[in-house]
Amino acid sequence: MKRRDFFKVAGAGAAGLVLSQPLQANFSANEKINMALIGCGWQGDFHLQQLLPRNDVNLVAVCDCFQPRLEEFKRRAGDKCDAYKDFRHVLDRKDIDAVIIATPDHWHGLMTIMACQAGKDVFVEKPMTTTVAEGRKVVEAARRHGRVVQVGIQQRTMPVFKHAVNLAHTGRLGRIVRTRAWAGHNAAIPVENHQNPPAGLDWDLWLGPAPWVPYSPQRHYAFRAFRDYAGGELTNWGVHLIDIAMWAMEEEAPRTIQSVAAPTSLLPGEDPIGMEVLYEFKSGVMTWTQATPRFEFEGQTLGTLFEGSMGRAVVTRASCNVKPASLGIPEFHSTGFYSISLGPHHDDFINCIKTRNRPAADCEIGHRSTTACNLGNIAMEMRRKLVWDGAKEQFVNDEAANRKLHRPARAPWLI
Amino acid sequence: MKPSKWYVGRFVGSLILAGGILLSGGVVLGNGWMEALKSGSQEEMAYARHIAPFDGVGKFGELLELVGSPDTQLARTAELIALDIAAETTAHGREDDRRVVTEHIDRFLQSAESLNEKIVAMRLFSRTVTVEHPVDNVVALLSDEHEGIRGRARETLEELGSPPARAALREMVSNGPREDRLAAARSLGLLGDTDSVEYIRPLLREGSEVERASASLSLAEIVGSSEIKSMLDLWREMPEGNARDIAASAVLRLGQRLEESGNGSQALPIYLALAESRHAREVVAGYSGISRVGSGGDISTLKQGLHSDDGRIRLAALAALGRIDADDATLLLVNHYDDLIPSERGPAIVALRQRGDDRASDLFQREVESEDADLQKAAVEALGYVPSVNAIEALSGPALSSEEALASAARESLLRVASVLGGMGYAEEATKAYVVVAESPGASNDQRRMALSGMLRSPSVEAFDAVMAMAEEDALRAEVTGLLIELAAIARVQGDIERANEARDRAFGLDDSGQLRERYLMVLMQMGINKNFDSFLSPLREWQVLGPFRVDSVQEAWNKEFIDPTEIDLDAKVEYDGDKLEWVHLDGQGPMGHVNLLGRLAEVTNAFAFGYTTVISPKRQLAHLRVGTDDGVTVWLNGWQVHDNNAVRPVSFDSDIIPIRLEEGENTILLRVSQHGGGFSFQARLTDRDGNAIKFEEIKR
Repeated sequence: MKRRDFFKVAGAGAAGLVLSQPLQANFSANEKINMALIGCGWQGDFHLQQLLPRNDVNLVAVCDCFQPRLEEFKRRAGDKCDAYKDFRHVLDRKDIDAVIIATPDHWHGLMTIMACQAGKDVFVEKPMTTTVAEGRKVVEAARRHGRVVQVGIQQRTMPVFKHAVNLAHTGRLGRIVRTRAWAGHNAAIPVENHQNPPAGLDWDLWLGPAPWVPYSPQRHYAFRAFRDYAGGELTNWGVHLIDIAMWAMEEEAPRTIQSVAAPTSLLPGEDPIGMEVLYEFKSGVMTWTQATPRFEFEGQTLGTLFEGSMGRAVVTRASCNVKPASLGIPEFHSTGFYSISLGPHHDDFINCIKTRNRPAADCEIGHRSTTACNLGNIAMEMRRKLVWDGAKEQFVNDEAANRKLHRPARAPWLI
Repeated sequence: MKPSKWYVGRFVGSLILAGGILLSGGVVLGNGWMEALKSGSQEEMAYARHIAPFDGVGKFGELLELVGSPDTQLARTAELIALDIAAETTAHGREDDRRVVTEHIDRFLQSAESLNEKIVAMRLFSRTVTVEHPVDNVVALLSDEHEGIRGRARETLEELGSPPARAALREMVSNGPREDRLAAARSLGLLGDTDSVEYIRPLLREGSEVERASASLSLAEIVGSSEIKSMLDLWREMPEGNARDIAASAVLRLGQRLEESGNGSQALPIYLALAESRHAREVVAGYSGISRVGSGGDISTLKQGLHSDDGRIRLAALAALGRIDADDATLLLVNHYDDLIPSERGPAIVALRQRGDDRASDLFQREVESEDADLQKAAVEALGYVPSVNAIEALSGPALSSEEALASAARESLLRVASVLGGMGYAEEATKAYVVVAESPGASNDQRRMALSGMLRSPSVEAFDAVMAMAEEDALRAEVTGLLIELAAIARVQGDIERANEARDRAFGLDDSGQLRERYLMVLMQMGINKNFDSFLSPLREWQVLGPFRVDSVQEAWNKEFIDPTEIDLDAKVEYDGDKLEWVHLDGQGPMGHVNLLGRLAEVTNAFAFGYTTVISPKRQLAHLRVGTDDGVTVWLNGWQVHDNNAVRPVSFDSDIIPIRLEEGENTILLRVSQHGGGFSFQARLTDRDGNAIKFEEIKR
């Protein structure tokens, strides 16, 4: 169906086709949840690996606008799983209770809202959205429709991080005055080469709400490097690590943000090789460092550090290490099942679908952590220190910066 | 005198040489970045990108010409530099530069031919121009031949959101192509443009049902309670399907906005209307809204839902009764409970749990015994929210269950109940609950740690055996030692000296730091035990102090002799650095005999002061002089130096333990205390070599 024709059917809300789903599930402990996976790429693969062995989930549909990937996932998922190119057909199915959204970032927000409207519970990969305004819209939609929305910041359910944050919250490190998040990663890429889309790819659907541009394989496969689709490394690894830092500090929004980047890359891309963001919070400061894969801090390529008045903790997915030793807090190691990062997060999501409780990484939490990352990128683009009003979700006295809080969606993919 | 030709030539040559170095040596200054950008060298281009934003306004026009270059790398780099320069000019104080850059962008927008140029031009435009700037050049692109550019133009107006942009969008709503009118309406809705209401309202009556409903969704973002009736009327008109879902979403959005603005009661008609719907999902949404903004008068609507044939509606009614602000809801749920089908009893328990009303407590306790595992777990969790002594008893069994999920839930509930009861002063009952958690085989270290922390807040000797058992575990050391000290003190108050000593000794065995010992004494004092600690601690209290001896650096002055330690004359004044210092009396305060030098000697940094006292020992004896000082200390006994510690530290109990020999009769003790900054004080006491108090007299002056 051509975009224009569909627009006539779906309208500006693009809420999908005929829908009648229960807003509140009625599951007993033994009932399986019918789930669909939208997005058959890198991260979708992780979800597929972990969903297939579960005995409390029926994977009834997979979806991707790139045919070769869709066919591969369908083959792995088995005969009882249907395959769709267009996610709206997934949302239209009455038997599907929940969806996992593992598409490129620019689709996350709108797809989540549409899924909520369609009565589905949602597990949406991080970052939850690419703009601050869209994030708030996601939360509004989730609450309005009474949906469980879990954001893929799965460190919230990993025991090593829960342990580390508990140390911070119970005062065992003293008062937390500084946190630091870092990643020896960046999303810099070469200049793009525009060409015809490959066979089997619906480029228009792939673009979705993002501004129209000709196809390039760089945009398709390295979308993180382009601000139209993602926020670079800051919203990739950064959102995981900054989420933990903010959780430890018990902060919801920064007061000021300042960002410097070194475009010392020899390659003109939108994500810098080196970047430092400085956040001021009411209780302390947080820094984000983004660098090359050769970068290490505290012996780790990526991680989060909490610095308190009595001690400090460095936490990664593998371990939590506390100094000084005189605090008597032994090193915590992730082991076994809990070192597989998605497992506990899926558990939590599925449990909340049944109990209707808010999940550990509820969309409000996901929105705040994602917002901090999006603000860092805006500060870099504005090239000046910005003052943020977390309650109003606006910059103070900076109209030009406020324009960057919202990105219009391409019709008909309107929120 | 005219400079010689030779001199002039050499001067000019230097200029040429310098210029050559500047231009050819890769050092790019000022507008040299443009050459670097065009050089074709990736390194130069990256450097240009770094430098240009600081000084690029003058070359902005030339830069924009490069955006259309067939060299994609050059075009892309030029675009990014242009964006950076433009962003810089939006800062306060750069208004003139912003004007210049905007003029260039306007011209670029008008002249752009290729797709890329148009896209970049609009990108620059939306990020740079001021709110008053005309948008005619963007509006012109609304009728571009390329669909992607037309879409971009609308998006640019929405991104801009300025008054001219909104005016252009309103024009689109009124007179634009059909497929663009709704998109423009949505843009205005998202911009919160309340001036657009009259432009969007006609769309409610035009087009397909889906289009009309979509327009109402846009309207829902900008209207108030006065539009509730018209939006509900539209919603009622819609047949089941997509249009109805969108229309329902619209009225829900309006209700949500009213709630967020603090006018929740105005949203109630929306939810009551939805609750009357034939469609289950709308009823569910209505009940949800009623639970948030409704009150006792609305319970009857929810009560109807309990008897619905549709299970989804019944569940929604239960959930709503769990949240609504109405006292009668609890009794309604309790009285209706036995009429529920088994699968709905769990949600009913959850709903009652949310109410936190102890009138449901008996029901919870009953269901803890249920054979239905889900129901049992729900009841166990619920008991945590209606804390009572009976709840502890009811939860103790499940806490020891072999079903880990149930046991863990029971432990969490016990912790919750104990926390509340402890805060209300029921220390014994709270301790019982904590002990169950702590002794529960499957309890995690976190849970046991929380139990210990809870016991610490309201200690009771009921915890004694459990805490002693946990004393062996490294992971719980901090909590256990603190608690043991509290229990030791309590036992002492209650006259159980054996237990008190056992707990005390165990605590000191785990942590022999001065801080813990000091804490123990503080607790004893707070409990009214040993108000006079002197016979227990034997602190020195009668001091004469002299100072401050100000220095440039404590480190450098450490070995300086300010006074002769063998010739102390308490009546003499000491001249130092233009001041005449004299000995003054200061008493040691508190159980430790703490002497605060600040205030008495004036606030100082980088200084020394002396404290002097004389004690009469009944016999010659080996002893310990135990001092705590802020900062470092040198000690003389009877004129002989016995200790020296150039430390930077706060005062702490028994920081330095100095073995000494007291002579029978008078013994003089002189302390020299250093001050780097902050606190400036000391405390000292005499004990035997085992740390026990000794008898002596202090000479008072």
